[in-house]
Amino acid sequence: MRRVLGTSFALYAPALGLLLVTLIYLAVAYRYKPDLRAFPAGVAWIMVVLLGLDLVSRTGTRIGAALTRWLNPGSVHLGAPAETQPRARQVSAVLWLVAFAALLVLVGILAAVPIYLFAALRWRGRRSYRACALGAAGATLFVWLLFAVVLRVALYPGLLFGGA
Amino acid sequence: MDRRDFLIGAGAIVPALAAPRLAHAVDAFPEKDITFIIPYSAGGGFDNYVRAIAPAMEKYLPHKVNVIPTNVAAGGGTRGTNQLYRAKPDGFTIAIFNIPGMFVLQERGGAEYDLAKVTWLGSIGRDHYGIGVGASSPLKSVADLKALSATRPVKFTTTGPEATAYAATLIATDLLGIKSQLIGGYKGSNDYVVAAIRGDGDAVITALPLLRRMQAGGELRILADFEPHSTVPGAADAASLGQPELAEIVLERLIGAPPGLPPDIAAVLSDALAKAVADPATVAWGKASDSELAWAPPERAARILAEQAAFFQKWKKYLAPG
Amino acid sequence: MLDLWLSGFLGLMQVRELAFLGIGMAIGVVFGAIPGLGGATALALLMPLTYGLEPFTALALSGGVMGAIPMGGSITAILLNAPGAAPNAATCLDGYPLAQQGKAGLAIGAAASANSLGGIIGTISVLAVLPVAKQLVLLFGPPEFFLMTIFALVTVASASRRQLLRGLITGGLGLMISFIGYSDVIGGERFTFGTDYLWDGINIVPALIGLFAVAEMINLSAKGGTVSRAVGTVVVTRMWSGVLETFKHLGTVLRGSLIGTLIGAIPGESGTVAAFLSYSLTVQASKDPGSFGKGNIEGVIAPEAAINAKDGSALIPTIAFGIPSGAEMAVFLGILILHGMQPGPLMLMNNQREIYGLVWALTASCLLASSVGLLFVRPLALITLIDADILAPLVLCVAFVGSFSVNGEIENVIVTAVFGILGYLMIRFDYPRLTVVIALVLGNTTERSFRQSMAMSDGDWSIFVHRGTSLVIIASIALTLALPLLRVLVRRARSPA
Repeated sequence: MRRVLGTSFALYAPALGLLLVTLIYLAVAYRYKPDLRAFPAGVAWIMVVLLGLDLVSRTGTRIGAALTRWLNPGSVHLGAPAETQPRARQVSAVLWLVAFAALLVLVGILAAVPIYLFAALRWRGRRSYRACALGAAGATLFVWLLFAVVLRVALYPGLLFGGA
Repeated sequence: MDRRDFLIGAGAIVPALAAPRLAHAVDAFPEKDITFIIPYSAGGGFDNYVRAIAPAMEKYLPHKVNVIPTNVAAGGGTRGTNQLYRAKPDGFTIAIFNIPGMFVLQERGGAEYDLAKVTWLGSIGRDHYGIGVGASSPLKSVADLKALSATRPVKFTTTGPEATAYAATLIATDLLGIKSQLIGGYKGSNDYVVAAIRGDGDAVITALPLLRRMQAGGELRILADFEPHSTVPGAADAASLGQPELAEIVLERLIGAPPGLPPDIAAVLSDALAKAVADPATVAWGKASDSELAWAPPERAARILAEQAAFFQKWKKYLAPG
Repeated sequence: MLDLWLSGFLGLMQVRELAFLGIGMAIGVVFGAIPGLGGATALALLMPLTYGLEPFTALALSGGVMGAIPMGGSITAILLNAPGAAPNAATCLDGYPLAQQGKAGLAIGAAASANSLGGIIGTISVLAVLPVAKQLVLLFGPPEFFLMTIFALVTVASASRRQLLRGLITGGLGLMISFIGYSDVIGGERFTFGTDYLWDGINIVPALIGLFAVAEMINLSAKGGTVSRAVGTVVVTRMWSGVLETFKHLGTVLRGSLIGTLIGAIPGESGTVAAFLSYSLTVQASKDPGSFGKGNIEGVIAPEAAINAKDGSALIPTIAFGIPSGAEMAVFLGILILHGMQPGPLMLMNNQREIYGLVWALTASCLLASSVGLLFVRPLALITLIDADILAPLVLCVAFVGSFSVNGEIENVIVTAVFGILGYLMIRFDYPRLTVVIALVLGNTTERSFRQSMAMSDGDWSIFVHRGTSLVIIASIALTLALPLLRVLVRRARSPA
């Protein structure tokens, strides 16, 4: 991986990502009248400075090392994760989460819960079809009993089934 | 028709088969639970009123069903009101409305509802407004407020520009010729009344029941009661202040259903609501909690809305900018 | 006054009242444990059931629920990093690492005893302070609220001084997010992009569920294995060691209880602020601040003591003036009004027996709930041995549905997912989550109270130094900033030349 100022480019990513978000936030803030944007813009400008310091602290330079020593002595070195996790598992874990959230929005709670649980227990948990079906059914029953019956919360039906 | 519409349509068939018919014999109504939407969080003033009359209403419906108070809080009340407006006009969804609150939000733009099209079932009461100051305040009368405003703007504590109290304060001070500065941002009516008591501001304009409670506790003094004739001893009223229009600044609690509700179903609901308000348990609750409940029929509710609409058209400049 | 305390206590010691207290307690523990439910939901559910009850009985039931919620929340916070209620997020910080080390029993035992002690200390404080409740509420206005938020932000930042830069960055991120929504002090929407949902800002409960529960489940799924990495020691639960730990750290308990009592009375998310502030001050005062976040038992004791202590004082503004100090108190207000008790100066005069009875109910429930928690420690601790590929999907289901149930808004699910991914990235890239929580909770309040103060004083900044209460808070801020330096100087003075 390419190195910039003594540090591999990937290790700048968290600070760069946050800086991008902050700059977009600033751009949106400046569309509001001065009174409204005063606090958000003020905080965002301070963030830009702090993220600048964070970026510098990640370099392999003397200033970077000094900043880390003074301002982040407790951090693991340059923010690299302390324990390695297989990249595929990380991506898979996030994607399963996103898929479940999307399912909840699209098909609603009472459909998404059994579908997700069955699929997760089967393909990630590698349990038998029977165990997956029982687990999914049991959890769905629990959700329905607690939320729909006891709490009388109208469980979201899903965008595809008329939910707003 | 695009793919999304097709999927939505296809997906809607299954639940639609199980959905209640829109038109059904009024004799059978209600055959399932009724949802009573409160467009605010649990625990607030409107929430209390609904939860007080819901059990009584169950007693007076022709068939035994539950009336379920349901909080749909967001957007200052717009979400709950939008939800009511979009619901099927089958009598199983009703809501309480804060007028002029919901009217103010509609005029600002962005609301999906049109209050003129709502099926009104009645009104369960109204509150007039008044002016209060802390018990230790040197201000003893409205004349004192006017005198103060000659030297500097009088500071009134209130909520945000979206709320009724904000508009009510601006309108009332305009009518009375008091130069005002609003200290907004307090979260609820108790909060900004206590703020005035504490001295954050000079005075507060809010609904009378709350002012009365605070005065009874010795914390506050009511300088003015915006009713046509004051029911608060020692307080000026709209007549004595020479501003009868002050009596039009009110908080109404209307009950409504989605547009297009069949009149016979509306009549059943109105009848149950009227009896619920008159129910001895409800009356006792009203007395014990110092909450004013008074039933007005649907025609009166529609007239109230028209009156408020006309009033706020006149005072449009004080409705928060979009 | 003592006769009123006694009258309230005796009023509670009736079979019917105790039965309803027990029911409330059981419901409180369950609702406290499930993320997204919590006290407000439990009370709103029970409200119609209280219609036929005598006011005192309704208060026993409500007190039962409110006193038990924190214990329920601590259990899931420790076992699954899933805070049942927002304040329990502080318990996650050291409670979950303890569970990962196979010491779930130790952590739950400590949480139970800290809960109980904190509750008792909080009760005594409130009973002593109730006669002057009104005056206390009137002492805190916008200038004091502004300074309190600065104090909280400074304290939390100071507690993260081992990662000061990253802590300030995540704090800034929290502040930026807190400004989303309609500003009712200025009048205008920010960052809502026209949506109804964002008009009220980001709801703290779905955000915290994401930041802690969901983030940890993603982490667990990515890592594989089980919550507890020390399989063998989970079976030996060390629960009683945990109970005794609280008594070994009485200073921490007292500090947490005091903070909980003071902060609990302030309207807003006072429970969350109290828990995180107590945690941060404990880190600051510790001789080994670096051990926090890695399974330091004091990191469990401090927030737990604060959370339960705040329950009593949260009643003060609610009862004195009808100003709820959180969603749970707002619903409780509704229950009071439903039973003809109108909160306000009159209630303080006319319903003192009921008020004292309620405070006793809160304490009794907190003690009972702690005992229930201890009873179930062994089976509960075994949750930490369930394989991640089974546990994570189940926890995610409950977490997302719980998140949705907050106001029944499906957008909460999206917020939870986004914060879940954010929280996971923060774990992976070593950014502290402590500061983002406190900034998220307090950002809006900071701006609002500042602007209100400026409106009160016509732009004169001296309003922040004119009032006695403000000066006390400024002194606390100065002490918090100076404390690390003072400790270094004291250590140098003590060490041999």
